[in-house]
Amino acid sequence: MVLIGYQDQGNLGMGYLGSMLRQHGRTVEMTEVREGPQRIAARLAGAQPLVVGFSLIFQFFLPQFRRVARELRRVGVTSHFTIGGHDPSLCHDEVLAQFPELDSVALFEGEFTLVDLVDRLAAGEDWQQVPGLAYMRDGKVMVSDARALAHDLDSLPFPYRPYEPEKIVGFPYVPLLASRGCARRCSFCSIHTFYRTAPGKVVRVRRPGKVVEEMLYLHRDHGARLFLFQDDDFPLWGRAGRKWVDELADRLHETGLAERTIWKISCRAEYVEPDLFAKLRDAGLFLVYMGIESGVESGLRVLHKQMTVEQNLAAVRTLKAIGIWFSYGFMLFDPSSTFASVRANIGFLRQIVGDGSNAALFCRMLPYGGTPIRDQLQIEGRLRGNVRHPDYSFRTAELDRYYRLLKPVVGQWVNDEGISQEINWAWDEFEIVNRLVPGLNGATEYRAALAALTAASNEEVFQLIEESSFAFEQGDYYALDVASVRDSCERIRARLLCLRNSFFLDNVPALTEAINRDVIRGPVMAPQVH
Amino acid sequence: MAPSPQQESRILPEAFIFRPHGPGPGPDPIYMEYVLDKVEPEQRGPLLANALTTMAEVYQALAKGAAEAARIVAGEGG
Repeated sequence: MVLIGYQDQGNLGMGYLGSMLRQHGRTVEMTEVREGPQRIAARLAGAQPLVVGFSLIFQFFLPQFRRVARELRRVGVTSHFTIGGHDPSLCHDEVLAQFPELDSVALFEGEFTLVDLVDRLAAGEDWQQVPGLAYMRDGKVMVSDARALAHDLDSLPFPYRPYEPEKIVGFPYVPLLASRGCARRCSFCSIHTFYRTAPGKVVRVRRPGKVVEEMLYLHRDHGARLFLFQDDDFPLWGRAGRKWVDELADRLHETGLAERTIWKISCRAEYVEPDLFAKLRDAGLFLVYMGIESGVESGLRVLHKQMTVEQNLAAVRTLKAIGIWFSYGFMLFDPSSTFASVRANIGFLRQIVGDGSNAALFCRMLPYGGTPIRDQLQIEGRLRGNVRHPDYSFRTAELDRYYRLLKPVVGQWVNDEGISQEINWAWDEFEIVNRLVPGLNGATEYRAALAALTAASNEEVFQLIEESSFAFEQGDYYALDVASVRDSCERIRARLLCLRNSFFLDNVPALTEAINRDVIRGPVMAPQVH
Repeated sequence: MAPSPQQESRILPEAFIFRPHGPGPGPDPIYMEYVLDKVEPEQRGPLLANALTTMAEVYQALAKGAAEAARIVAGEGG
């Protein structure tokens, strides 16, 4: 059995599929799709695995996966091809139509479906009776009986991770899950559609003891020092959530992980309470990601965040006060945007990161497949682009024009290689080493200098947006060009590199010692079946 | 003379060289605005998401577009 997909930050979906198959006696190979069609095909040509499974989250990369499948067929691989993930589950008819090399789509959570499929294929039985599949028969899309979501996450083996963990400044980090599902219904997100379309309980939480058992295993056998919880919404909600995280924190202290490792979660801002988060900080929580998304009430309403601006501000204040690093998602532009809301959003960003606590990051909301907002935009006649490059119009042509001109300019800050991304990398590194190796030389001075540089960089992009938006609104087509900001970004980049490298140069011995300390070395491919 | 940042990078051990690109612990991969710009143009299929499935929708869209165009021409900002 071969699983093909993106392996960034570890691919937990593939990891769970792999471990389930291994538990059922199957051999599993994980392949990175970016290896390319020819290389993958060359390796698999003679192997003829029983099943080749493609793991796809975003529809935009479907052609890339199809090229691999086409090449595999061209070199004579006759295996059963199946695909799973968010987009194939929600849009299986489109996927089957656009990807004729596929034999089936494994709908929603695929662990049990894939095991069943492989067993039936191995036995030469009718695979079309396997629950949880979609496939084409005589030119028609057929869907087998629905398969419920995995009810008991603790019954699943730990994800198969046959690779060295990625590292940040020498410290290995791994992703994991404490829960699956999301009870919310944000209009721009397809995750809740994914979980609500399949039968079964939407939100499922593992027992804290099992989560800590996996963390301990990852620390001992993979050398993990950072854990990235990939839960859509970390289980903090209500009294039950409080009890759950209390137990998690206690177990982390009991096992010594709280002192040796740190972890990140994603959660809603409304759950950030001082006492609770101070306790979690002491148990190793170092980074909280929040999908803030908008700094204006109208934007929060359109995005159906069921949050207020004040709740988001309060969460940021609390995290700063108790010393937990935060990151956030923010959509400067959404379908309800106006020039005034863009400036109000900048005002909000100034409140949360104007002090240089974080580099300003933002984007424009995109209407992904399977989301309520995409349907709404379609009803309003504002949906544009195509399936793989979704787009929409704002309410005024002026704002459309402004966005088109602004995007490449602010991209110098916020695109993948932008200066804000680089600054936040420096912050990530600093917050990690500062937590794992307290007392580093010059840490206080470096933090202050980095904050000053971050604040200056943020203010420059804030002013650019404020001034240009005013000008455009008044019909004055303010000169927006990439060249005018490139030099400034390069100066910030050079200063960042200088500050950052000086700090690390001053601390090489202490960091090297810390990286090698307390790590119990073990085989990377330890037994994964429990 | 003090070393430049680039020279200092070369002095740093491999583990501590600044490599700010690629997945880090902070961001959430749901934000695809700039990532999509890198999707090869030939991969962007011709399938229109804004499919006008009935003639009524076609006429409504045409009427709306015409009204919008009239407003723009009249200097009302569209």
